[in-house]
Amino acid sequence: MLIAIMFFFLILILVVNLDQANIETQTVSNFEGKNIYQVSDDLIDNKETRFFSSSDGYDTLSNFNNKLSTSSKFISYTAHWQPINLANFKGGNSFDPDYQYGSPPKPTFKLNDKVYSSVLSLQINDSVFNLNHIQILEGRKFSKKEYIYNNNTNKIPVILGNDYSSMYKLGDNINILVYGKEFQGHIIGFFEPSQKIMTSNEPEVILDKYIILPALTFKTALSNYLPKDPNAQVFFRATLFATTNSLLLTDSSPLEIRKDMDRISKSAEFEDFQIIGASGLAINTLVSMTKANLKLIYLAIAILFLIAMCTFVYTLYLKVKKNIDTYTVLLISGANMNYIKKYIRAEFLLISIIGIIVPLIPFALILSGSLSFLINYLFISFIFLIIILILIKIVVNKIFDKVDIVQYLKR
Amino acid sequence: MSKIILKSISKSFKGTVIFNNVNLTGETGKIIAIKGKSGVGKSTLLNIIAGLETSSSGSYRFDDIDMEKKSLNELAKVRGESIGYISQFSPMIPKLTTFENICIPLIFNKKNRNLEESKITKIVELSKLFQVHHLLDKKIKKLSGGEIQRVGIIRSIISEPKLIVADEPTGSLDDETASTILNFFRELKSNGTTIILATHSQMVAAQSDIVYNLTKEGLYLE
Repeated sequence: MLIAIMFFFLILILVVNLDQANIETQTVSNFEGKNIYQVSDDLIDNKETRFFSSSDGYDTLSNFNNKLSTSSKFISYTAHWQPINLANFKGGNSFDPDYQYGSPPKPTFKLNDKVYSSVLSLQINDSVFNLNHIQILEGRKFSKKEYIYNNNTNKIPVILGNDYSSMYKLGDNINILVYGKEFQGHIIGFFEPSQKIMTSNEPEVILDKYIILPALTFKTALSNYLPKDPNAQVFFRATLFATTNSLLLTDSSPLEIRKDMDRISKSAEFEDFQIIGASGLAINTLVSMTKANLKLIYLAIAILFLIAMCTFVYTLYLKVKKNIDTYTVLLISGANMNYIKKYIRAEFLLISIIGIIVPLIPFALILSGSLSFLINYLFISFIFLIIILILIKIVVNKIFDKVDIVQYLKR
Repeated sequence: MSKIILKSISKSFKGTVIFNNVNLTGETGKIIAIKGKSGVGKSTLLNIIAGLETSSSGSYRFDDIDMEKKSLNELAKVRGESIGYISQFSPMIPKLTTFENICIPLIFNKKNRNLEESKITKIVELSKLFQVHHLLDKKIKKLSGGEIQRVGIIRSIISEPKLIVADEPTGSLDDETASTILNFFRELKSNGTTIILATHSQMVAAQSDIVYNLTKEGLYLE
């Protein structure tokens, strides 16, 4: 029985491997039915310090981000909330992030003769414009080029929420501090009133009081211009994390997205992240199944099949010997040998069926159930079951050629 | 009514002749005893009569059925419908109760496949007669050798066969129980059942209608 269960469990792993694209698992979907996953980095506390202890860490994460942004398997969606400070701002407390959430506003501070106030801000990438259908009142959205960080200038394009339209005009420059780095924000547009977008944290954010910055990527090796001062490095880290912690919009199943992200992770040599929405027990179990080497599975199945067959034959022989009285009773009561052989085959059929069902129980518990997967698993198991039954039929005939029940009546 | 005719039956096993030229005519309602030395082939002859194995040559008719022309599978059907078999050691299915073991032949008997009230009554009556009624609900493995032998006898007659083939039916029983069984056999034969039994017992032979002696050369009337 144990051998049968182990054997069919391997068959289950094989089917998961072969059938991964069709396995249906629960996902969150939105944006015209696309599945949504979130990448979340694992670089916290000491781990973060170690990772960024050399400039290689910056280049690794930048490379990972670039691969995320350019993957054809999903849309990378970045709408990352960030604290920024705006110089000489007269708009009032309602633009302050803390005030928005019912806390006292952050105090203003002075730097290089400018008084900075905390204001609401987001870094977004191009997908956010496309997927949320944001309307621009005046000006334009960011160009492709403006999403790439330029170390030769401290100018950065900004688009302002509608509430700013009474305070600034298109083409104005504003002084902003982003994670301690001074930028001259060049206003390239204003949003229509009440424009809404989805972010990683909130399903709906109204942009009226926000300053929108492009989610920056680094096309050349970041280590070439990374400042030596650790405080000045904070901006680069934060900018990298903004893109790393993106949402992924895709038609792919959790299992497929895990495979795609594994590929990106391997090629970028960055593994310190999770995929929220594709990291549950079910997906992790499936992923670990798919990570099993297919050749090894085939080999294990072949070996286990041989072991199962040898065990079946030996068990059959022992069973016939043990149950000889039962068969003798059936024989003298009017059963023929075909009936007795069928009786034995039925017993082994039952064991095999239990062997098929048992591996399905944990699978059914951790997954909500996939009909196509179940059909494939049952189909492959059925083929093996037929092979097992044919072999058992041959073996039972051979055993009864050697074990003549009638002779037992003459004891 | 059943009639058994064996003509020139011989049996060889792996090249060795067990017996030759066995002729036997069994009329309806007779008790026929077959005696012979150990190893002479009494059990083999009974197995041939019961359709459990085939002879090497000769002809065997039972109830106008040419048994020699039937395959072992077809013989099993005849056995299920018309022949009861009592073995020397009465094999049982250990997982079943006494009652369930008794009922097994009914599975293979068209007329009795449904376990009717009358059949249950008969099982109870027979088990009372053979003093195993208190064991009907017990697992068979809890019974003694003598009790098992009596259960085997009840099992062989429960489907009311025309012919009972018994291999040393009283071999493991005390005289009193053996006598009960022989009395019961006489009752069965009065109802038209033919009983062919192998025995070493003079007592059993003395109560039989016909007594044969089996040798390698054939079957001889005593």
